[in-house]
Amino acid sequence: MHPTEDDLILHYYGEAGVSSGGRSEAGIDAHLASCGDCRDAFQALGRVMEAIDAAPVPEPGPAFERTVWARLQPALEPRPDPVRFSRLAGVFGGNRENLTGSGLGRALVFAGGLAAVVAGVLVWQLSMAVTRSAADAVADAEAHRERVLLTAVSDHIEQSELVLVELANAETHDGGLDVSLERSTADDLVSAGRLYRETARHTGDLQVAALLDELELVLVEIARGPDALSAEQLQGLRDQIDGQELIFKLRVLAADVRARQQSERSSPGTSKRTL
Amino acid sequence: MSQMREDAAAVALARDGDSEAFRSLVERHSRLVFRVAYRMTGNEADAEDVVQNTFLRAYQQLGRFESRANFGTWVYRIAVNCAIDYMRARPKRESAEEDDVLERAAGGTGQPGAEQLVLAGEIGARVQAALSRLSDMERAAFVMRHYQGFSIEEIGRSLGLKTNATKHSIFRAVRKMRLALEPFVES
Repeated sequence: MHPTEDDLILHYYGEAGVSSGGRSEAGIDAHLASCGDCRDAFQALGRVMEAIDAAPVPEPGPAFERTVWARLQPALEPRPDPVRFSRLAGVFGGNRENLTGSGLGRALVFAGGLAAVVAGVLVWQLSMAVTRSAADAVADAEAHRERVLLTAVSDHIEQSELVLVELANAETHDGGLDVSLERSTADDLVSAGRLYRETARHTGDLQVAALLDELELVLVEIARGPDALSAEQLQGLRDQIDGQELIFKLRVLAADVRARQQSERSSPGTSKRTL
Repeated sequence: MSQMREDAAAVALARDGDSEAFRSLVERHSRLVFRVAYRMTGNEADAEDVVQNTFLRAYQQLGRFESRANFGTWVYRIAVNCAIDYMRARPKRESAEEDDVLERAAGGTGQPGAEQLVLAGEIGARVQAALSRLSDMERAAFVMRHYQGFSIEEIGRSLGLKTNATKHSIFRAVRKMRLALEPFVES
């Protein structure tokens, strides 16, 4: 039997027979050696692929790396220092070890961190307002708070998506799968997600709040589950993720949030109705 | 020290807040990230924005990078996802704009001659126009497989697709690319 066009494409990439019952690399090679028509078809495919390879990409100028860094550096916030954060948790609860070890502790630390960032931004805005009118300063402070929240929500969505994609594509080994990392990330995300959901409700962004609700159900499932999932448990989780089309919805929301961020950057204050 | 080891060391320092270490990662990988981004978006300005978004997201997710992994591979995956998000967020371009690319490449004539077609720039423009007609998912899967050499399994993991869905995205992409390019390549 002649290989199909799909077989030839996989053969071109050296992946024939991988993860499927399709023809193997050696099987196709043997067929091509004896069948002129298929050999011609494979060579025609190769010519197109070579043309695609040859398509040039413009080379950025010699200062490209410096320019990228110069634009990037102001956007990089200092990475959170775990020691400083656990001290902060100690201040909140008195018992540092217990508090940072629990979901509640992380929620408090996160809420404290977020509040500190927002408060810092507001203080900075207030100091700038000395030379401007009060109305301008309030509008600016709102726009800035908007940007801070959009960045935080965008990061939350990305991290949630990453956890779901990992689980949707993971394979069990010896009948089980270690999901301790995903579990702990999901635990953190549940706490943060609740804050964002409440913010979304307050700002009237009910679609976002509804999606964060759906997401929370799955994240709680992961966070409260065991460190190692059986194949059946993993399948159950995947069915839940697929059934709600969560990954797709998160990607759409991420794109929407990014569009709002861009719109905020170009015309501050225009996306006030949202998060 | 190999680049992979240098990258792993730089990631460890950057996680602790060393911005110079992160800068070295940006300097080592930004050109290759630009190439991925250009293949995905089809123009330089958008590709530059995607490069920015990619490194910003990489910085935010440094904690999730596994030290045994290859930073380059990891950041290219992020680049593809950033490009998908970027293209979904930007307004749809008129298809006439894509035709303009071909017109310019063909020197303004509707039916370019065989001599002109051997010019790499023209083939490049046709490839880019054909890429721009693929769906976001087809383009992402094709760029990762064809230009970046990711396996089908890795592509599926990165894009949140099952293996069969990944294969079909690649098959559809190759068929569309063949349809658009074969007449010119064969002539």
